[in-house]
Amino acid sequence: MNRRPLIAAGTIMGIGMGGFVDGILFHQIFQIHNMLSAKIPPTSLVNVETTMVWDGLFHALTWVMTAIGIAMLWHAGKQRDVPWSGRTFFGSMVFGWGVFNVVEGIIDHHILNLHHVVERLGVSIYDYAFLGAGVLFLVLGWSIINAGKRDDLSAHPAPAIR
Amino acid sequence: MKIILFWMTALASSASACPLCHTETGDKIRAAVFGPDFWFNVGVTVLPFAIFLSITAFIYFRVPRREPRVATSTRATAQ
Repeated sequence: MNRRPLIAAGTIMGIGMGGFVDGILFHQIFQIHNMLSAKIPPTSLVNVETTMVWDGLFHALTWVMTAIGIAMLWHAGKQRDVPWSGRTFFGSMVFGWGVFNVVEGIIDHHILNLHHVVERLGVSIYDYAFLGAGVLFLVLGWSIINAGKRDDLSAHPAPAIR
Repeated sequence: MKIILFWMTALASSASACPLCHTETGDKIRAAVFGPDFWFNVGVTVLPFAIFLSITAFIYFRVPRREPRVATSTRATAQ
C-alpha cells in the first residue's frame, strides 16, 4: 500500500485552494491587502492597477499548484497500490492549506514584509492569527491523514481496480 | 441619456486604466510594473511557490513508507 501519491496530490491541491481563499477573499472581496501592498500602497489608480498585476501573478501560480494537484490525483487514481481514501485525501488538503498559511505567512508577512493580513495595521494580531490557523490546519490535516491509515485497499480500491 | 453617459464614462475610465492600454495611465502602470525592481518582485512572488513544490516533492519521494505491505495482497484477494 502506498499513500504518498494521494497525500502529495491532496497537499498541493490544498495549497492551491488555500491560496485561492487568500487571493479571492482577502485580495479581491475584502481588499484588506494585495500581493505587494506594503511596498506599493493602494493610494492611487496607478498603484492599485500595479498591485493588481502582481495579484494576477499570485493567482496564476496558485492556479498552477491546483492544476498540478489535479494531474497528480489523476495519476494516483491509476496506481494499483494507492488506497482511494477520502480521509487521506481530505486530510491532505487541510494539511496543504496549513502549509500555505505557514509558509506564505512567514515569508511574505514577516520576513520579506511584502504585505500584511490587514495592511493598514502593518504587522498585527491578524498576521499571527493567520499563522495560528495554518498550524491548526497542519495538525488537523495530519490527524485526519493518520486516521486514513485504516482505509486499506480492500475497502477503498483505487478507481483503476474497481 | 444619463444612463448612457454613466456607462460611457465608466467604460472609458476603466478601459483607459488597463496595463495594456496606450494611454497616460497605461504608460504609468507599465512603467511601475516593469521598473528596476521587476525581477525582485517576480522572485519574491514566486519564492513561496517554489517552497510549496519542494514540500510536495518531498512528500511524494522522501516520506518513508510505514504502512504494512500486507494490504497489497488483500487487494489481490478482493479482485
